[in-house]
Amino acid sequence: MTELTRMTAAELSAALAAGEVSAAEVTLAHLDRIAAVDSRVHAFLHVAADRALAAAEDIDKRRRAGEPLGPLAGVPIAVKDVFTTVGLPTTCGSRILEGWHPPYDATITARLKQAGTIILGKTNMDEFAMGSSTENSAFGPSRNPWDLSRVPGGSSGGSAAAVAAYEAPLAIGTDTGGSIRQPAAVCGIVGTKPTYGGSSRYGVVAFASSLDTPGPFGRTVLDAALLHEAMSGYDPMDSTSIDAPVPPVVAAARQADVSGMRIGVVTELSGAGYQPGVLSRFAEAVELLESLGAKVTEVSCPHFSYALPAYYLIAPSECSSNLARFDAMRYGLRVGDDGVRDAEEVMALTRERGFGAEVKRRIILGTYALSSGYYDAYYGKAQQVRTLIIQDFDAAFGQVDVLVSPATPTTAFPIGERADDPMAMYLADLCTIPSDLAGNAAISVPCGRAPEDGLPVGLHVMAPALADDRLYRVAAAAEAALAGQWGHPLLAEAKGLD
Amino acid sequence: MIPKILHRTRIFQDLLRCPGTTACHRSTVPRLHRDVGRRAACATVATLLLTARYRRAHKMAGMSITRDEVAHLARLSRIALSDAELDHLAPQLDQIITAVAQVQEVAAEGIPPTSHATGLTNVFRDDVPITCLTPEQALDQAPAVEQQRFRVPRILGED
Repeated sequence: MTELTRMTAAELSAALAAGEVSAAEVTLAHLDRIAAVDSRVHAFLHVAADRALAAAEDIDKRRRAGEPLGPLAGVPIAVKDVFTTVGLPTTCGSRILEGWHPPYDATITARLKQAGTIILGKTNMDEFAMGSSTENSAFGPSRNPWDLSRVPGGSSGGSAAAVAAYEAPLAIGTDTGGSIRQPAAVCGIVGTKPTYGGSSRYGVVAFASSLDTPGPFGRTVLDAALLHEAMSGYDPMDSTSIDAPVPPVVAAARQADVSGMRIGVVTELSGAGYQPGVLSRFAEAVELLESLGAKVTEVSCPHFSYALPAYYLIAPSECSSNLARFDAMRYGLRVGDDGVRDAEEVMALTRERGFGAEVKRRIILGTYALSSGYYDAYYGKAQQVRTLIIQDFDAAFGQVDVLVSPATPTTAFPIGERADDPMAMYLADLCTIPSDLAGNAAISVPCGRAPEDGLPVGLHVMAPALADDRLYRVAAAAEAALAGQWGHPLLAEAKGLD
Repeated sequence: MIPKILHRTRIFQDLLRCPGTTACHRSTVPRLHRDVGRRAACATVATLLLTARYRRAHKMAGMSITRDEVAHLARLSRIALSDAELDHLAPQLDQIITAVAQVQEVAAEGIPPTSHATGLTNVFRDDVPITCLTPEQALDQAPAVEQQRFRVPRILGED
């Protein structure tokens, strides 16, 4: 049998169901892998070895007793440190929540446990999910398994790095401006932003509530689909949850057929500012889809050019409000409570000490954009641009079934290169932001390596809200055809940990 | 051109506080005062501040946000920024605000704003009791607890 950590979730699922391997063995293999490589990758903030092994033994016991178990029972998973987890710390990569043990499970955490997945630990992230590199984590950056001197993307960079480094076959993250798809792209794995409202936000520490969308990572399109299905669905605890069936993503991933599909290449998500090797791999992927029977046209979405500025008004505005809850009173860090200082002084000192530079920048930017006198010129205008972007999508989806673009303008950049240049960092989400603003669904799937640096490139596929299954049809078709050309999955070429 | 000294936040706040007297207008917004006329209502001045003309003028002044404004916003945000951080953050925020101000180029006359993409409104749950945290669970992670309550620093002044 293949080494357990090299197996996909689907392969592990089959081997576990057939009794060829136990959940405890699978879990132990992944814990060993974490012990062997995570000092270099730093994908995890907390590893829950004892809990994971106990959960795995419980699954094995239930399987032996003949209990019916779901497809992911016994399959290990890594959880971004933004999801609340009873019995495990939840820091959001921030000093202000260092050592915090949440009193309840996020709905998705509960669903993962119910599905029988084995939570290996919590993964590193940019503080409060604000960033594109994990360099904004208070606990140090994660590293890209393709090249340890480069970022794994962000904010869910720890989750992406864990999957790319074979520390976990699956992981979950959250996507607010691209925080699943961008790290998936630069780590050479698959990541999906489901339709907004399709996956629950209950127990996900809020960054920008109208955008935050939990979603899956996997090394294959089918694995991402299996996790997508297990974690999604209506949740009455989330008032923005959509009461609709989960789109048939697993069936679509198995179908892997684009014949007759209409695919639109977005004119505005290309050209100046894009790395040549990213554009050439993307163009080849589009040709490949055409050769598989898709009808490819070019589609213009004129307001996408304004998505980035609109996002950097909307997301900071929402964050400035959401992060007001960190007030040093009920949980988390408290600094300067000397019996003399009043509550507001303690609050201000705590937030000064507890938040990192990017979080402060965004809180202040959001406070500015929402100030009376600027509201209409900034936040109000950004909300109108959001409407125009939705209208662009609506018009485009009147002509085509899915839209495609590169997932990121460049491959993984070196650690430190953009750390203190916020605008350069923000550009990493250029292609992914429109889908967040519109609340529809999108995926990144590996489509090769850029010739100039040998680093992975992601093909980005966007679909209308609640048509998440279309993403998996296209991504699985591209994945199968590309693996046929390469003779192996792209990730087999990653040498950063050799 | 709007004089540099007239930072937008200051002007707006001063106007909100403005009793409407000539003296007030003259002291806080001399140039705008001349622009809009002696009897201009504060609301009119406030509206004017948001016009493209004002923004253009402001852009020409070369700065979209000043260090003092950042310090004020940090106070509103309850973040006790150090001087060194202010020196570092202010120019970065200026750069970011200049970039995001691009949204103002978009012709959006009559376009409704979107705050939320799902279009859901008035979501209620069924009015049934559900279990909630026990006092022990709720207080478990508190920085300080006293008599089954969150103990907080004083919230009122000495006098």
